[in-house]
Amino acid sequence: MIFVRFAVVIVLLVLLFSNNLVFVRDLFSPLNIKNENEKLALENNSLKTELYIAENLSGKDINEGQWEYFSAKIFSSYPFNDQNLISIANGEISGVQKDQAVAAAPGILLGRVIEVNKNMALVRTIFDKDFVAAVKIGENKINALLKGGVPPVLEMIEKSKAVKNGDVVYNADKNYPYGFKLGEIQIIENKTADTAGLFQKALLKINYNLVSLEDVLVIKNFGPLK
Amino acid sequence: MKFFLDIVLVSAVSLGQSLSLITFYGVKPNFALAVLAVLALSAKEFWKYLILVLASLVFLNYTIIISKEIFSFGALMMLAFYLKKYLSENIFLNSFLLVFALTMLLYLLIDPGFIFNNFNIFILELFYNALAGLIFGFIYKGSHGKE
Repeated sequence: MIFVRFAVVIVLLVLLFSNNLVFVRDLFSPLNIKNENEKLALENNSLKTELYIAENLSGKDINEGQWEYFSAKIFSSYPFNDQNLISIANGEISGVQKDQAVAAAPGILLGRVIEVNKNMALVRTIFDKDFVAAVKIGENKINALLKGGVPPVLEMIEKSKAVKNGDVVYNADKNYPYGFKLGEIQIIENKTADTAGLFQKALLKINYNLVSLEDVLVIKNFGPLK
Repeated sequence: MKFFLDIVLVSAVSLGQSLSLITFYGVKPNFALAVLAVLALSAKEFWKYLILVLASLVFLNYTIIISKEIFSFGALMMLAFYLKKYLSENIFLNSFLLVFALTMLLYLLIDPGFIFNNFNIFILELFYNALAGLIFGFIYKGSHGKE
């Protein structure tokens, strides 16, 4: 039986360090992209994000347009399902402060710092059930409310407003930089039971994979409006 | 040798969980809980089991100071060591029942609202954990019988 134990340990270690486990999630994901063209378009969209991730700029200052970022390494994430938090390896000593906004890549909002220690900070991501933000959709700037989750959900979209799959969703909440992209609209449903038929609901499609993120960007020159 | 492999196994699943490497339908199965519950059933010595639980906590911890959630997880895993004497001789049934009960107790301790507000996620995790417990129970059945 010791061989069975040994085999289980070896298989787990190989899977753990090979980074191939992502395919398991993709295989079972309800948002799995079957259409090849859609897949290519998605890849294209996320190239910028991936390029940033590959550059591995941990611990460095980055300036993009009006925003000054500080790159911080992710070292762990909350291990259970009731929250979606990540720990970053920079804290007060590096100038990280509570309530600072955090980006997955320049211009792409990921969450907010909720707790800071000397050498680390805890970030609540847009995948956390307690994350809420006012957002706008597409060129027509249609108002909606983003509620965190896996995947995040867009609620309170007026039924009379036309939204379509692929419309860009960006931040309009005073707690985060205006105009930061959150993702794209996907799967629109006309909910009638809980909103008296006044609003639509949609899922948010994210163009990056949180598991593959190694670094995040803390936005240095933005403070939430009081 | 067996104990060393158990430490590596517990550390690997705990590290995988803290890195969120495996999720199904956006739900993270609690493999650390499932593996520790099965090991609690087969563990004879308290101190060896305590070392396994501590190894798991080291890798699961996501803050500098141990959080309420991680502490609760560790306490529940130690409780599992004592709960086993109230269970039957059937390791499959025991694994299933123990993992089921520990998952429920964990969320009742750390975030009771989660069970009611995200019932579908909770039920899915309960199912994944119980299934993982059954599978690990099957793997360890032989060694448990021999010890």
